[in-house]
Amino acid sequence: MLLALLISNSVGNILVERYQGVPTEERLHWRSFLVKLGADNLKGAKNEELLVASHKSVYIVYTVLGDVSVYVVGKDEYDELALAEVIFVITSTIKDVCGKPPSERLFLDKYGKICLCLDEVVWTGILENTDKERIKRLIRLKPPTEFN
Amino acid sequence: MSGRLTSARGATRVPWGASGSLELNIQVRLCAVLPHFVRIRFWLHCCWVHLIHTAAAFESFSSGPSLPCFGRQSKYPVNRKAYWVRVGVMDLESFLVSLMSLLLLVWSSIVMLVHIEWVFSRSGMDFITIDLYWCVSVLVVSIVFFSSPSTAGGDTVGCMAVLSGHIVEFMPSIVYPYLKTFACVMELQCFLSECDGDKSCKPVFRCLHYASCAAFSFQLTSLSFWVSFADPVAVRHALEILSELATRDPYAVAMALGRLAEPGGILPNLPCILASFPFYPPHSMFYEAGALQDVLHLHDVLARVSLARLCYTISRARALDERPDIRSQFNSVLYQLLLDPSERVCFEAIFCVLGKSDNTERTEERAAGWYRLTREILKLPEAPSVSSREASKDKTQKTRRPQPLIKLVMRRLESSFRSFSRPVLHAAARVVQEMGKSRAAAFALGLQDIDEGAHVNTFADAVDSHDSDANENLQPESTRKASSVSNVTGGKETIAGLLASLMEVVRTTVACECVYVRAMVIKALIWMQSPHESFDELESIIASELSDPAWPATLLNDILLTLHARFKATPDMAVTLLEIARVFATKVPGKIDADVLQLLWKVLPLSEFHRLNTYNSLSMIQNTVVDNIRILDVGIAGSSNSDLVPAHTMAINKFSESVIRSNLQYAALSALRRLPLDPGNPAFLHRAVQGCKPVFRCLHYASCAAFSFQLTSLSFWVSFADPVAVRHALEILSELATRDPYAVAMALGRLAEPGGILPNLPCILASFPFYPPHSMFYEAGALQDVLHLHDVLARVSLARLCYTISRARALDERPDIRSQFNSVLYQLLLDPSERVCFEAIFCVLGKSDNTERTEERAAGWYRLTREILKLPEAPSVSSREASKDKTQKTRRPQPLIKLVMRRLESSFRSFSRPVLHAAARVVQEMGKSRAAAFALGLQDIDEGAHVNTFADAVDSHDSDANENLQPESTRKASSVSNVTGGKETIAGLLASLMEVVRTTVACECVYVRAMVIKALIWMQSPHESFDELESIIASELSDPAWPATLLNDILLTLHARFKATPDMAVTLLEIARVFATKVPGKIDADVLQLLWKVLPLSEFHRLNTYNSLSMIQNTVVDNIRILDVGIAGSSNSDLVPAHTMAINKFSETCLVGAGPDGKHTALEAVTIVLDLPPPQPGSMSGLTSVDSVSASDPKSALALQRLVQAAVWFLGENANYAASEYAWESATPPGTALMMLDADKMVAAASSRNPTLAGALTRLQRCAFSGSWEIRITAAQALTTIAIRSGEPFRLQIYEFLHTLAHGGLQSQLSEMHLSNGEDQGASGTGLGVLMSPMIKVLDEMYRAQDDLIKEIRNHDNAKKEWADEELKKLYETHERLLDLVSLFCFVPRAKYLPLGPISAKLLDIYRTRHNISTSTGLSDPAVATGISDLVYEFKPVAAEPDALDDDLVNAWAANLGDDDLLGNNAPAMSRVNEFLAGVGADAPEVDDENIISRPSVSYDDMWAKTLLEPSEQEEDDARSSGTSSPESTGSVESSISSHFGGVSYPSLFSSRPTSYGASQTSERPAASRFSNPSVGGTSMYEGRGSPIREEPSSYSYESFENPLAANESQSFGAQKEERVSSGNQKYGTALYDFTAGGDDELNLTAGEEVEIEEEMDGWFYVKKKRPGRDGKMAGLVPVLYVNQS
Repeated sequence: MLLALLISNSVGNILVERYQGVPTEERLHWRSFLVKLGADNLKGAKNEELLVASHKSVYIVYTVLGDVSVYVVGKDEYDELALAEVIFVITSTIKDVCGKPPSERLFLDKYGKICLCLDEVVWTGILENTDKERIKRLIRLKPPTEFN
Repeated sequence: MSGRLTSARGATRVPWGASGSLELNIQVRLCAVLPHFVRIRFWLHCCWVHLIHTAAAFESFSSGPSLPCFGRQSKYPVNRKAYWVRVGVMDLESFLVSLMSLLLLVWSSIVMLVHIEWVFSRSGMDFITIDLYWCVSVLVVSIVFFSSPSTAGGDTVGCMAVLSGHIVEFMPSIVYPYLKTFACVMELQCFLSECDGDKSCKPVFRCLHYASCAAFSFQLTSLSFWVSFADPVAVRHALEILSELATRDPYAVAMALGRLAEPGGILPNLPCILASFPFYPPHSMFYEAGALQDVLHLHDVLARVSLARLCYTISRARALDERPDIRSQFNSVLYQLLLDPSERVCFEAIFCVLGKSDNTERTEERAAGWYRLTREILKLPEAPSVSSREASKDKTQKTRRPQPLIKLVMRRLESSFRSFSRPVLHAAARVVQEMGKSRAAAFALGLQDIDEGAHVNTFADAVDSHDSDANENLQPESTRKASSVSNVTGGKETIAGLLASLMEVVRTTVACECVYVRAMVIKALIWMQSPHESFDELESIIASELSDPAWPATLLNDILLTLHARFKATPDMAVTLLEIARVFATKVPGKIDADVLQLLWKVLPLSEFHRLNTYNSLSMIQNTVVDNIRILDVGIAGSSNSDLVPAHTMAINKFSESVIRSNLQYAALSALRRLPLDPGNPAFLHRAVQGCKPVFRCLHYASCAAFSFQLTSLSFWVSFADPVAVRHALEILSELATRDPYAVAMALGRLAEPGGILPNLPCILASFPFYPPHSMFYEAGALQDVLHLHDVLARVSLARLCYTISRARALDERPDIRSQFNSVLYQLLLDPSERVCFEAIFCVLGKSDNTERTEERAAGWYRLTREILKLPEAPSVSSREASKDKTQKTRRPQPLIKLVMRRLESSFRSFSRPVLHAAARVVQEMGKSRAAAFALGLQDIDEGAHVNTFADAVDSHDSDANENLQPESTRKASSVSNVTGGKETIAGLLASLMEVVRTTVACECVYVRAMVIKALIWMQSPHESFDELESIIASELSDPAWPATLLNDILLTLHARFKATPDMAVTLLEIARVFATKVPGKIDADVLQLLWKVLPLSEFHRLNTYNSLSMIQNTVVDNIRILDVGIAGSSNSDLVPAHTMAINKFSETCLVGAGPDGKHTALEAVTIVLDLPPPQPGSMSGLTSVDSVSASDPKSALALQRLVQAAVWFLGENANYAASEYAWESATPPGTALMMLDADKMVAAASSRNPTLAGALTRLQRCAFSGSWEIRITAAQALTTIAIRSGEPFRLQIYEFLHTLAHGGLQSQLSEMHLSNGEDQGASGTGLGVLMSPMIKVLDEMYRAQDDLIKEIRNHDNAKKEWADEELKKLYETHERLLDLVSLFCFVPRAKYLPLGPISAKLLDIYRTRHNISTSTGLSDPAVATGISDLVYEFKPVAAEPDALDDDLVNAWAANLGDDDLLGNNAPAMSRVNEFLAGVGADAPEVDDENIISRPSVSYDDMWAKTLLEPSEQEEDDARSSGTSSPESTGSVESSISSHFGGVSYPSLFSSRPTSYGASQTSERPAASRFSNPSVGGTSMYEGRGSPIREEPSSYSYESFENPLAANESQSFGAQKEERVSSGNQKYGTALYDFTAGGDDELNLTAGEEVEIEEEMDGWFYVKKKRPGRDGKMAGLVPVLYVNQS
């Protein structure tokens, strides 16, 4: 299950935060943990370079994209590689929406659309759509694929 | 006038002109005052009217017969006089009484009004007051009227009664609004909740009822009251109230009603009462016995309804169980009401018969109702009232024949169903429904099963012949038309027949044009549906009904709710009901509320479902789901009305969840089956997927044969045509497969027929729109297609699915299927995505969910190393074969291990951290499987085998094939695999892999590194050197970047590894030590504690008692120690003790878990910790060296110190166990063989005898010199423990060492050892004298007692005399005393332990046998009996005291020592120690161990409290006191020793302190010399060395004592001795505590002071001190308890 999806800006302010299956009282811990992780490790990281961490049986993959950092937390079938898939979809979607690796301002400008995309990518802790084109169609409330 | 009066009476109106204005005035006035009390007006109305009535009556009385006043009289004129006589207003007196009463009433009413106004004006007043007041006034009025002797009956009274009735009726409605306003009072709220609406007087009655129930009900039911009520409304109300009262107090009501039933019984009277209204014929007026007709012809329907209820309540009241007569009377009335002309009454009676009262009735009641209905008979009573009309009504008489109720009811219902009135139809349908409910209840309780075929008249008295005739007469005119029907059904007089006939009629009623009636009819049909009957008819009715668009949704939902209720009542009917529900769902899907449907599904319990095993109901629910989805579809398609869509989606979701809950998984199945029916609508499909997800989720709960068939049906998958859907489907399938692999495999296999499952699966997966068309048409799947699937997670699920199926035991008989899936799984190893490939590796390795068993993992490793991937000849490639010849080659068999290794190697060369992390994880899992294989012995032989041994010799193509197989992304790995191609053994491959893994440690991400280390730990083979791993870990740990959690994680890995391979305890301990020493501050105590938990209970039990006990002891002791450390330590040392403890426990675990063979090595591993040099601040030399300590910061240093301390303690506590050396198991008795040896040989013997223990001893000894003070203390304690537990020569060895230690003398040697930890150890040695003196003393005593015993034995042998009992007793006491002493220091098994040596065993046995002393003294063992903690805590004070020596024993020993041949030339124990230790000191193995102890022995507390907390002071003392003698406590030891030796004329030995032995022995003195010149420079050396004893806790008194002691050292001993010899009764003692003198004759004491005890008196000692105390006194009284007598 994808436990958490968190997007923060470069100084650790939360932009997007979604939890699934994480008790409310633990969310704060996760948030601070992730932000600290980013602060410790993302300095000087390249765009979309994937970093990994784990805590017990929970995996964390995070990356930096423009001015924002993206963290995904998963367990069970969402191990580090699956999370890499997820984060790849997320970053490519964000890039798609923003047209380039986003600055914080650009990200906030496109905030609504990004949220829609995230909805399509992650649904109740499960990776849904991975195809950019599908996502693009879906956020416009069109069927995901053209049928012949 | 009479007409007006009549009308006024009838309608309670006042068209009375004369008084109109007055009334109006009052009204206006009152209304002005109280505008809110509209109803007061009516009340006044009433008052006024009845006042007028009275006046009129009076007038008529006085003015003669011209004034008939009441309607009844006008209607039935009687003599005026007679009338008044009858009414009882015979004279003025009674009139005045009436008037008075009236006035009283008025007055009370006015008071009431005032009160009400008051209430109004002052909100929040006490309502109860009003209420009560009002009740009381009503009561007063009633009583005045009814109890007045002259007013029994009469119209005035009647007026009054009516008046009061009205009052009663209206008052509440006046008061209640107020009460409501102030509804804060609880009682009133309850009160109000029942008094809404028209029955406003009920609460009044109820209130009255509660107030005075008996009186009231008497009044209420008194005939005169009723009669005089004379108002149908009042009667109705009275009956209503009575019936309500009856539910509460049936007995009282029945009694009240029964009391007035005396003339003709209640039955005749009741109708009479009811009939005595002005409207009815006069004959019923005068208490005639009630005629049945009268009852039936009562005009007031509701009154009869109430009567029915009343009768029902009373006839069913348990309170009346003892009055069957009353019950049967009421029952009979009730049954008669079945014949009531009014449907309302009749139906109510039926309801009552059926047991329906208020929908809260229990099943039993309903069942009993059905029983009554079907079994009981209406026996009409011979009504007396009819007797007058008997002649003319002969025919009527016939109707009084007994009738089965069921027949009556059925006929009545049938006739009702033929009514044209919709209400009647509706009500009749409702009655049928209620019948159905009761019948269902009866069925449920099993009451009815047998009898429905019985003739209804079986229970009747054979009056069938008259049935039709009677029926005709019974039926009222309005329903007469029904008689033909009843005639028709007259032929089938069974209950079933009657019911069938009824249902026929009911069904025809469905044709009614009103949907509500039809709904009710359907409900009735549902309820009357028998579980055993076919429901086709019902279904078709419902189906046809539902086609009518006129049906409102609410009604349909209502019917569904009925279904729900029906199901609850008769779970048997699940199938039927589900069928019907399906009809609903399919016919009118849009109208059904999801909640309702959900409710319905919820009912079905799992068991029911399983019991059903019918496919029908399943499919039906499927249909429902499908239909819902269809609706959704429609909604989406016609998207204009999009509001509905979310709701429907939600409904579907909800429904699906409910399906989960109720296990109606089949619904989902059908949903899936039906979905593709409309593949043309992509939006639908998409949404359907969304909506179906919960459905999917629920599937894995299903028993899924059918489902998986559906789910996996190719068409479904294909038409789904959505990668997300496919992924979900695969996920679910893989989940399903874990539950029912067989079914899934069969399902998948079934569709595999064209080309087998293997080709098909890829085909399925490939059949998405995204993929090339060639894969669309069920072509056999090409491997490439599988590999090129876009959706990674789908392939992951596929891998799991394949794994599950291929490992399923259920498929043992289908190896073909298993191999197919296996093959798919292996192919996934070639997947381009690491995620998929790794998942496949996991699957191959047998890792599924971390809960797999060892066998599975082992089998996984076996598979990985043995199996071969044979790529299938994919038919789909055939078309492309020509162009892909090269590809064809890749289909060659490949050993899995090679594939995996190459893949992993390539992954490890990735730059992506997730990939690295995952690859390391894979290696870890490999290690786990490998460990499992090792553990099971699967793998031991084969790692050297060539991997292709098992393959089909296609090696030559390997590199080529490999290149082709590797996808582009991992192509770079091929070079690596080529490199390793040369060493094709498994071991070679692994080595190559591990090399790559190791290089990965250089990754900059600690998480990756942590995973790599874990992988290395798991891959570490027990047989291989772990140096590399150790150095890797050591160097890694030097990196401060490591977070504590990761380190703890690695420790957990160690833990897991240990569990998997207990053999590796030593290795793991080593690694744990590295952790502990390198990063002591980062390790979580909990994690380490977890390590300890590895130790299973069985292990514990396997140990002998001693060990487990000592373990427990250790734990306790350890905790105490930690506590102490915590106290002693600094504030930030919180973590440290726990950490220490955890390390200890881990060590223990390993020690115990390692088994006998590993004990030694495990112990060694622990002691390695001791070999660490103390952390040197600033010395960073060995950062990467394992054995140096990274304790640069104070905290770490502290932690390390604790660790070492813990290790010392551990060693002391467990060395004996590890070495299997116990004194009580020693075969060789000490003092015989041993004594024959010279020193060197003895040491050699010791080493050879038990190298483990010897090594441990050496380490401990080193620790006793070298550590910090804490460690030294612990080491000394550990040594004591070992000394006590070990046999010779270890005990001697330790003994001498302790002496040396206690008295210094080794300082020069120590200083050469460059072991300083920076602490000034003082000139006098280790500073442990105080601590050790009690230990030494114990050992001394043991030796002395042994010698003594030997001497005694010799004496006895020489004299050839038996041991006297007295002697034996003495021996035994000595034995016990020594045991007690010893037990204070450490645990020993009392039953076995022989402090006097093995030779004492025989004598002790003799004594024990004689005196019946049980040898199994386990329970009296202080450690056992008092509990460890008690031992530790309570014994301390005692233990802190040097134990007294038995003077006699000492003397005897001393006196006889010289006679001992063996010991003749020997020194006593001391000499032996000397001798032994001399050798040991020289031959000791290299001191590379530190030994540690944390066992608190006796003086532990003292040490912590005094010594340890004041180290600086000690040192000062040491410095100052060098060359002087010891302080007090040692002094006592000395004295005893000296006395002892003095007696044996070893003055020199004597004067030289015990420690001198250590000195003399260690280096200077050759072993040979120790006997010959014991006198020696010992003394001088001694003094020169200074007394280490001085190091002990300094208190002023010690200092003050030094000089005297030092001054007359040698002399004093002799003196003492002399003293003792001369006066045997002279006692000495030591002050235990400080004592402050409270009186003139008392003496101050300081703890430790020696005193001479003169005499004892009353709990006080008169003692003499050796020197004056602070107060200058030498002698005085001290409490006995303050002195330890020696």
